Amino acid sequence: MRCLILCLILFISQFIACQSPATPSWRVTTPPGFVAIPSQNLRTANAVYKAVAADGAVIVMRIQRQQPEGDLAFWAAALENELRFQRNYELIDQDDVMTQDGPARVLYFRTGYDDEAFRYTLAVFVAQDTVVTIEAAAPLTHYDHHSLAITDTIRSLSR
Amino acid sequence: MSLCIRVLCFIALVSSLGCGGGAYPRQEGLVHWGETRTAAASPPADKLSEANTYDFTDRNLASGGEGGLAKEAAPAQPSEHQARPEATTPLQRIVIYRANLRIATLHPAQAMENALAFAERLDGWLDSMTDHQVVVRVPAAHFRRYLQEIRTYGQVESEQILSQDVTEEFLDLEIRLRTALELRDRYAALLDKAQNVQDALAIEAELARMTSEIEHIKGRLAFLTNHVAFSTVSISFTNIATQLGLNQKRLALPFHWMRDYGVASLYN
Repeated sequence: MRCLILCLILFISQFIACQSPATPSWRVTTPPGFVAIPSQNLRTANAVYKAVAADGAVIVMRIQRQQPEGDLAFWAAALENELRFQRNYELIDQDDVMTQDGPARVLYFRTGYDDEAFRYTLAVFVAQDTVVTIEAAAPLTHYDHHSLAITDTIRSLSR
Repeated sequence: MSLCIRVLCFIALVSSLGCGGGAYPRQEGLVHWGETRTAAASPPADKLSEANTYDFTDRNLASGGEGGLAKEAAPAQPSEHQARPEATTPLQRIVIYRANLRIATLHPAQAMENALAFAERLDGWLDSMTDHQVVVRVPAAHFRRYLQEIRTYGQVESEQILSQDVTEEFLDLEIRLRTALELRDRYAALLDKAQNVQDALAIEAELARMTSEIEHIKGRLAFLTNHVAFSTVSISFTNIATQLGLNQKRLALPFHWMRDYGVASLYN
């Protein structure tokens, strides 16, 4: 009986370990004006990093295992499709940014949330088996103030 | 007897010479003064007549003669005569064109870039730009062509073409400018003839005032000329996907983790 329970615990722990998408090796630098939220307090799905500014701007890094495998262009287009055509986000620009670990595709959106206009930036980086994304959002009126910090955060992505 | 006749003839000759010689200059002065006053009835010559009255009165008081009056009042006549042919000749209308368009497109940012690029190709330029609106100036000759091109960028939701006829203002400014320039030249000539400091200062003050007015008129003319030569086109672009609900027609991809992306998930 004890052996069975031990095996069950071992199996569950292995299962959880396999399912967990978080790969703690990915890092970004918290930009000036932001504070990083402790990892145990992160409630955003698949988030491994979150930083907020006093005026409500937020930066989040998420990691998702690739299922199936796709390249940077595929995942960037898929996320653009999701946001533009499923959520009505307005794509206002896109750009390629070089991170510490390689190229990332950055999509710049505009949308409405809680009766307010927001800017939403999504950077997509693809490694061998993971899709790393860095999202940033801020009210339209505050975004320009943080745009440089957001770009610096994306550039700072490294393992 | 013959002596008596000779004396009478001499008296008659002297008296006739004396009457004629004294009357002529005064008549001449009155005639020219009257002409100057008549010129004041013509609206464009208002300032001219006022300035002449002021200036010549001073000059007459100072010099005690009317030679200058006859000489200076003469140019008032051509300005009246010049105005007549302009009034009878058919006028070519001078019109400022503006257009305001709102266009829905799938790619507003790209459409804005294209609108600007096309304006520049037609020798136009960017006037102002915001997130969703671009204002360009295009040569008036290409105004219609530019609008035709812009209409192909998406679905035209609204279009407004405005015209402002500035012919009257333009001609009025031209006449005022010509008159002011003539008057300034006359003041400059008078300044050379000023016989005392008080006159010179008064003339210089008028010269400064006329110069300022000339610059003001020239500025307004340049503004009008610019806006006549280059039409203003303001275009607002909106996202047609949002408006037409095209997003609902796109197939959702089978990656459920993507549903977590977006602003809402960052703030929840």
